[in-house]
Amino acid sequence: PPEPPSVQWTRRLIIVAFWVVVACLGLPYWLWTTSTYRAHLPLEVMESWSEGRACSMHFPMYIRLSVHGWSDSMEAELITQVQRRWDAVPETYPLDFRLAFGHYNDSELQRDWSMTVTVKTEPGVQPQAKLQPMSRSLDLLYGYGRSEELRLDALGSFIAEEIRNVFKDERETLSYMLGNSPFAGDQEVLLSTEARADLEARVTRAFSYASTYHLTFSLFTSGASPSTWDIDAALERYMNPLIRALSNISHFTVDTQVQLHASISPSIAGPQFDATTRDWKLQKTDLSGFVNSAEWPLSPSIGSGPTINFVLYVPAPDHSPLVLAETGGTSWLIPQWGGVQILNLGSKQSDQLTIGNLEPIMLTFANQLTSLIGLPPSPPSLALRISSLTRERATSLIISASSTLGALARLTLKLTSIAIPNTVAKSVEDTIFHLEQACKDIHVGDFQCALENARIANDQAERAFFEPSMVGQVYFPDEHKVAVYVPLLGPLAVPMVMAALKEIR
Amino acid sequence: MQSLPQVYNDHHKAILYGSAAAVRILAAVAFPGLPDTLSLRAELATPVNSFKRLQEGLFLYQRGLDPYNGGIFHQAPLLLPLFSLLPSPAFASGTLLSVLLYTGLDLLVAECLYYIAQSGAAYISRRYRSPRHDRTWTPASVAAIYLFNPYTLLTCLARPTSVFATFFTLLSVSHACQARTATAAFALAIASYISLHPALLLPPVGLLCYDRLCLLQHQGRDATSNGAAIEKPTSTKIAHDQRLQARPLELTLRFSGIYLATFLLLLTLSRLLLPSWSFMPSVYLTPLTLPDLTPNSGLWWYFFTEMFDAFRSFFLGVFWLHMLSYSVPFCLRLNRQPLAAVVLIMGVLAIFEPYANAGDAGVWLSCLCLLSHLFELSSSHRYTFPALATLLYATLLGPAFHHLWIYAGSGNANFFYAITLVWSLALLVLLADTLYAALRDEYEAEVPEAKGREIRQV
Repeated sequence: PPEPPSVQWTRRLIIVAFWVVVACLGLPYWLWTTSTYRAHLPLEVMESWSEGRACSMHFPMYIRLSVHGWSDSMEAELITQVQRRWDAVPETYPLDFRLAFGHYNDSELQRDWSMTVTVKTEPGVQPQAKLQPMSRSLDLLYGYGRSEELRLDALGSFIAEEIRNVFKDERETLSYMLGNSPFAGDQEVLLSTEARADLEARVTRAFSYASTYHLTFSLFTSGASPSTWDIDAALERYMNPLIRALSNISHFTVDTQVQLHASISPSIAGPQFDATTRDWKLQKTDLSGFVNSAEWPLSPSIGSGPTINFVLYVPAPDHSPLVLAETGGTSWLIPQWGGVQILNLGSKQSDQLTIGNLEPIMLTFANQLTSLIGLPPSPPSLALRISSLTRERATSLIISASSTLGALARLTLKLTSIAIPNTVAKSVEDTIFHLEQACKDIHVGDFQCALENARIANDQAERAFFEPSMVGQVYFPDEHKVAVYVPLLGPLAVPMVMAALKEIR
Repeated sequence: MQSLPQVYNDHHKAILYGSAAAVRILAAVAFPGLPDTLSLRAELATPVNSFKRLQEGLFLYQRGLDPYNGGIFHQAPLLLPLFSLLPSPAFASGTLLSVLLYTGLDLLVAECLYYIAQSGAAYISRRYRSPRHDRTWTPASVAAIYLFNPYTLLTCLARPTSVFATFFTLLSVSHACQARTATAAFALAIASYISLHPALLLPPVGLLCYDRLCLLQHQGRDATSNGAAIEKPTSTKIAHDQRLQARPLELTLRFSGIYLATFLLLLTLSRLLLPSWSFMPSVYLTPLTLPDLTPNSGLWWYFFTEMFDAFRSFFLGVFWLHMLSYSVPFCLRLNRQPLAAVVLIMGVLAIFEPYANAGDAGVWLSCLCLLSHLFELSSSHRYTFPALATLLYATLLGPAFHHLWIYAGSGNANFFYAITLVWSLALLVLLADTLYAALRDEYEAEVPEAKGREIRQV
């Protein structure tokens, strides 16, 4: 018997009820839960930073000039002369020298001068230039012949030349760094190949910049003595002044340890006795394996920030004196790790290393520390070297942060299927903000703040790029989605689709 | 000897209840470790109804802390004051008292089932009267099946709190059979408050309510107009007097309104008991987002242990939508047998709920006996025997494989999940079979000559 219409309608209503659940509740829910969330990133700004268009890297160096006993007008005249020299031979890129005379003006007193130049003029002496080691100042002594008058242009060119000499190496380093990056200007300093190789070695030897470094001083004794060392006093006398001087740039924490019966690593050949010089020689090939990382407790993770290890090794009496084969020296530096020294006590074996024993050791360690921090070797004034380091680090951090931003922008455009969480967008915003701040600080001459901002920018850029939740969906091919949906939804869909088709027909 | 059946026939309810209570209490007394062992079984105790977790929450609650801080307690807050009246189950007296409480609950549930069976809602509705109405089982049999069902016995001893939800659900159904809308909505709201899924019983219980209301009104009118009590309508097509009948819209609004109001009232009461609203995510988001994947006899946990994070929320939605999509179509199709719709949707819930357990399945199997007049139709030679045998097989192998997986270490999760799937399959076969029987019954009411013949779906 044919179906009464009420039954037909009931059937239609039931099919519609099932399909309504699918279409009105299921589909929107599916779209909502499986669409990847991509936060908005300021791609144009990121690309402009990565291509070096966002900041022109030139470093204004504010130099204060004060001449002994001259009046203001004469100083102003002198400054004009010096500027004229610099404009004539503009080999100052990327440093931009701005000279001002030492007139006690409130706003200029607040400024952190890059260097102070004091000039004395005396008749009959040879021109001399002397840098103060612990402060950023240059003392110039200019002499002129008895019969001559002081010529301002000669004095001016002397001052210009001396100032340029002081900053010559820094110019080369900065220009080299900028030359390798998108921020390169059009004037580059030409370097010879040896100079370039030197520069590269210096840069790769140093640790990357961190705001905290952990210094570890370890004494490893081959036998049972010496077992103690007067390290605290030695550190206080020889190392702490350097650490204090560097404290503007990074913070240092110091740990010390002593390990007795420390044996040399079995993987190296070991010291060989040389009969001609009657000492034990350590081959160059052994140097990299000398630090017995298996048995010597040397790699703790003390905290955030890299650990710089300084190792003092006292060889056994039957292996001493122990020296390096080629050079005959007793210390070497391991790039991006730390430094090692060998202390040959000779006949004066005692149980304790006194501060007298430790003096040359500490000085060598201090020297190694400066290389590992990346401190430039010249000019011969510590304060100037530290401020030069500030500028170099700020530059390298800005370059690194910009390139990370560029890589992130390219990644976002290329991989359209990855999710970009809000944290990444926030980190990118922070990075760009701090980069802009750093750029402004550099243009104003406040290199300390520039370093701080550049460090934060670099940290945030790294955090944005290496966000772990971004890569979750990268390697998820679309075919796998079939395998995820079909086993459950296939059997659900079949009766619904068949019923709907039958009903429509 | 004649007196014994006499006593039985006169006081069959008392004897039934007495013996059921005696069995439970004897089991608790004779095997003192049994309640504690059973309350740890994965099939009986799930993260949302376990007695042990209730004790955890109770401990924190009695010391004034937020019981949901521990992260393992996911049950309704109003159970806490109730259970804090009982002594701690660390002592034997505490265990015995809790078993007594659950025995009382079981007896109340049996009373509800008795009433539902007695009211005849299974085979009479306002537009339909089953031709098999004389084949139904007596109410006492239905209650006895519930009370002596092994799943129910084990559940009573394991004491999960889902028994409260069961009680209130069945109370709601029994009040719906008496056409008391307000109390039915109230009871259903309490049941949904305790565990979330009875909310899906709103359409069928509402339909049942409306149906019984019309039927009783009509019967009342028939009784007063004819002056004689007519127990059953004489024809399957009943003439309605539309003007005096309850309006469906008004009933729906009243029903849903009371339901929502009660639910909100219960939530407010819970908030007053507790220091904060933190119970809401813990109690209600747990079935929705499944943070706790402890193995149970349901289908969800295994699937979600292996689901990729990106698709997890989508599939949670799929599973919930699947479960709730059965509500309305069942009511549409079975609107002439609303009690059948209620029982079948209870079955869907028992099989597909997020934290399924053997207790809910046992309750459903007992409720199936309310539709006992359909049993002769349910292909007893084809499906019912294999289904029941499979149930028995799964019941015995399930704990064995669980032990093998977790304690002996020589099986793995697949063993246990396979048995769980078999269990669900058996329940599904029973469900589908009962649905077929209900539909065939309707068909035979219209086409009486089809009785006894094979039919096919076109």
